[in-house]
Amino acid sequence: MQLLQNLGVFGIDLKRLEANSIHIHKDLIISCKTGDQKAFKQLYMLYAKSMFNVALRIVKYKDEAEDVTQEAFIKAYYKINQFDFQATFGAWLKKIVVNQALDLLRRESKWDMDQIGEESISEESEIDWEGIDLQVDLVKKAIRNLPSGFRTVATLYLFEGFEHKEIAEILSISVNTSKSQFHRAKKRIKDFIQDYEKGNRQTGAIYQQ
Amino acid sequence: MKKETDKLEQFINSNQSEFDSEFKPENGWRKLETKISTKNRNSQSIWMMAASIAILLSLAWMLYDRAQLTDKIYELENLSVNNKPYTEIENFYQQDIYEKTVLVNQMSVKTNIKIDTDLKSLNKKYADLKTKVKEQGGHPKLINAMIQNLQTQINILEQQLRILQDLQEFTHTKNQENEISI
Repeated sequence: MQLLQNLGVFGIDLKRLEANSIHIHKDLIISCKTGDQKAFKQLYMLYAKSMFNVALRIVKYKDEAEDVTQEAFIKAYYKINQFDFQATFGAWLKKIVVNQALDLLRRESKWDMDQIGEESISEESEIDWEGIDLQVDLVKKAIRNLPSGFRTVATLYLFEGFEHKEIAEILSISVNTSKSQFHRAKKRIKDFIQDYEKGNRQTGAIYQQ
Repeated sequence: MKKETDKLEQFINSNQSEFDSEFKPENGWRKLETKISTKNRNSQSIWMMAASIAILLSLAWMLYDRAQLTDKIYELENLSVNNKPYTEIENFYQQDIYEKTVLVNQMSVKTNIKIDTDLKSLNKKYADLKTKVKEQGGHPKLINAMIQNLQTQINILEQQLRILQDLQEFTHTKNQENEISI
């Protein structure tokens, strides 16, 4: 009986906690809309790390990703009145970060989007990952090694949860191009990992000799 | 709608947090804070500057307008017609008007005939002309109109006086006739 009561209390507390956490966010955003810098600092502390990583996956270099994150938050600060709670704040912020990162790539002429390759992907061209040992560090390296166009499409799809339709909109390309870029990016990732492992085996073999 | 995911997609989904690099938001905030507050201060100071410029401009305009107005009043006081200051001419006419008004009023009481000595519309026109001179300066045409206005007032009063005198004479002789006939 005692246990049940405790559970009941715990359940209510959890619900209240959940409701509060949503409201804290909403309150923070509303405070930001009135120009409250402390509220914006709280939002920054909550979202900065994930936004930095969004940027880093697109621009590759840490200092550039820091700049992108900062520029994006400055934009968000001045545009916060345009946020209308239609999407989550994180999704809204993420779009700003992505656009800011793409701006930087284009500005620095690091943007290379291979426009050829709109060919439709046939069923049998599914990539066979059999026998490929996936490790975080290796996959990270493989993605970093991709040309910026492939890398952006791949990270937006794989990490940021964007659909091909959204990616196509952001990059001003067709949905098919986005799909084929993604497919080719995955192929390159696989090739990179395979080559890496082969290389390791060879160097391992050399050491064994 | 996401279709079925392959091994790579599943791997990333289940290890996403391990892909994240470290980031210290405290350092980032310190840099960001200065940018936000300077931008804020900038926009504030721009507004302050705009406001003070607007205030200065309106103040300058007010002073200029006031100076113009006093100039014009001064001009009115310094106006002269045929080497006589306008104020003297005005005084002369207005004294004449006053005396004649008194006379007409006395006569109208004596003869028991009501006469309107209140030359409202002419007086109003005179005042209008005076403000026009203040605003636009003492153009000779305006001054002429003012003098004509005063002269018209005097003319009217003189005519009223004449009519009243005629009437008085008429009733006087009538009375005499009556007396004679009696």
